[in-house]
Amino acid sequence: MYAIEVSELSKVYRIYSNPKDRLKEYLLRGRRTYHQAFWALRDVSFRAGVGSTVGLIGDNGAGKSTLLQLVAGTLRPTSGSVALKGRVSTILELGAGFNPEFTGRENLFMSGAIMGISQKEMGRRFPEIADFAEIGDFIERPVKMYSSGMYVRLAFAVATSVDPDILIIDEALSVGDQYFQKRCVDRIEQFRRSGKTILFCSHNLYQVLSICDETIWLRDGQVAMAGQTSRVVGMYENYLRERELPRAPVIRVDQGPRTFPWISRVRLSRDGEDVECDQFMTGDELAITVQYEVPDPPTPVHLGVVLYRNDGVEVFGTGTHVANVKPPAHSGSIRLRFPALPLMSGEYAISVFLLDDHGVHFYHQREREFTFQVVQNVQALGLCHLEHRWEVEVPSDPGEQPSFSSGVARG
Amino acid sequence: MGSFVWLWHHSSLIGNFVKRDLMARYKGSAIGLFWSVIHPLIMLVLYSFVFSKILKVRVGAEEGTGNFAIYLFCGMLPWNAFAEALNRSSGVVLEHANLIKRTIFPAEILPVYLVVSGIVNELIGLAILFAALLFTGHHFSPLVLALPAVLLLQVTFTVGLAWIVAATTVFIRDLGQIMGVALTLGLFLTPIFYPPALVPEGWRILLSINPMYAVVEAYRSLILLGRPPAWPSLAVLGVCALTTFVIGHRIFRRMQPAFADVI
Repeated sequence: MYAIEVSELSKVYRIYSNPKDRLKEYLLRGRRTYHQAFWALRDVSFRAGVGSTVGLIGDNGAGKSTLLQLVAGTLRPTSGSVALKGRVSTILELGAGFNPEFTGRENLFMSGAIMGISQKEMGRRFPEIADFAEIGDFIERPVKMYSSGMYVRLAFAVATSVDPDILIIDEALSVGDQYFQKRCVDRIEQFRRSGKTILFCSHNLYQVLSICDETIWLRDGQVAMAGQTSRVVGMYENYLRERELPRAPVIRVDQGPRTFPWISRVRLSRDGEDVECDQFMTGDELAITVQYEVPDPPTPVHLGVVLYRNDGVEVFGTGTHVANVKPPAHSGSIRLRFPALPLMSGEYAISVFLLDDHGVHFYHQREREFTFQVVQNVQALGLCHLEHRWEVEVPSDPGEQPSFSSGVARG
Repeated sequence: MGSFVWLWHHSSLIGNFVKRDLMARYKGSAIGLFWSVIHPLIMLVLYSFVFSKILKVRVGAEEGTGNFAIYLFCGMLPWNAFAEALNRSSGVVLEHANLIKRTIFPAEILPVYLVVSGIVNELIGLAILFAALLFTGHHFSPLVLALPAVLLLQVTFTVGLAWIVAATTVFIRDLGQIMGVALTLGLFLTPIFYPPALVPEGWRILLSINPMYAVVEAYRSLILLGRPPAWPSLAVLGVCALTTFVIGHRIFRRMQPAFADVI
């Protein structure tokens, strides 16, 4: 059972350089076109099961609002279809239709009428709405006198007062103070628990992580990735980091005949398998195998390995010289293993250095040439999964010693 | 017919919009809705003063009570309701862009509420007209009771046109400007400031194809003369009203899905 089924949805806006062109094109009935097509959304498909909460993330202009408006039915698609099961309520913009000259009460009843709630029904719900909005006596004053916080509280209260099967929320929670946001999240939680389907769009990735079961990442009007929220949000964050930091071009210099030791090959693999791999899950074993060549005569070498995240953060670095490992002084191969990779979702790069016997001089360095991706399968934030344990202090009867119950979580 | 049923279905929402519209106009003013009464009252007094005291314009008994101010006022009432609704229709979709883009909302009611709101103001004016007539000792014919039927035709016609104007202006904004000119032309081409008898023979055709002329004349016949209106012009009005209503609704429905793309 799906509450929302969207298939191959596209939306093209016609951009006219001036209003006359629109008229001309209409009068010529398509014999000549004067517009430029702008694809706000292209072939987007997804399904949301009844009772699921689906998040929508992406950059500004990626088509999120367009998609929400298409699903809500306020925009018509150019092609594709939207099928909805049940009554829909939208919070695309808080307070759309509020008239600043009228009192909160008058605006509430008007909003109710627009949403198709009878005045009698609205009268019955009024106390609850006014209560949720927490604006006190201001409910009888013109909305223009409200602080922006009061305004959004009232708007959110009325928008969620209807009893929808499907709730479409766009950026609603990014306004208001912490207290209000908390109440909104509570309200949404309440909707979730009562089995409503929610389509939720936000720039607040933490909210998306904590509210949504599944998430869709829109990029330039297309689905960049969809699926389990933690994975999609992880990849989106990774994309954001990558965009922040333009990748330094890899400079390859032909060094001519090599007279010093050099790194000939670096291989990443999982769980000791010999197959090369650049996709890992948090907790997998990552093995980095480095082959190096030493021209005659044999020279003692050391190997250094540094892991970076794609935004340049140095995650971890180590070397054979600090670990007191002696690599052979002739051509050979060394493997560095991370038995349970504690990294979280993201893209990472590895730099490999071949050093002299003091670990000071670089014979050869290959900086950030080897990349791999990590997808996390745990719900957590940050760069790496630190081993941890929770201890809960159980309140006890007076006079007794406080006791602790503990649990250990491992990634 | 479906259009009428549809309207009935949304009557409560339309009522809400009308209420809000009327209240919004005088929101914050000290005497509020009372202004709706003062406005037409002042117009009537002004007409009387200018036309009867200064210009001393008289119209024959054939044209009503003989009082030109009353004659003019009676013609102005339906015209104002008509013109106001059409003029405001041109901007109504843009004005409510937020509702149309952000909520699931039957946009078709927007022009309708403007028409109804205009009618409410007209009714206030009519009440003043009736009071003035009673005051001057006018004898009403029972035919006055047929006025609601004329009013209904007028509303039907206005709503149809308002739909066309509202929908078309979204795509051709110039229509807003055109409406201003067209309505001024209409005001002078419809015998409101002058009796139709003054129109030269060759130009009468302009009157017979003008539905608003039929409306204005019907008002005057029923209220001032106590005579049934001219049936041919009423028939023209009826046909025009129904056709405009049906076509207007179609046009609006047809264009509505594209509103959100343009506004």
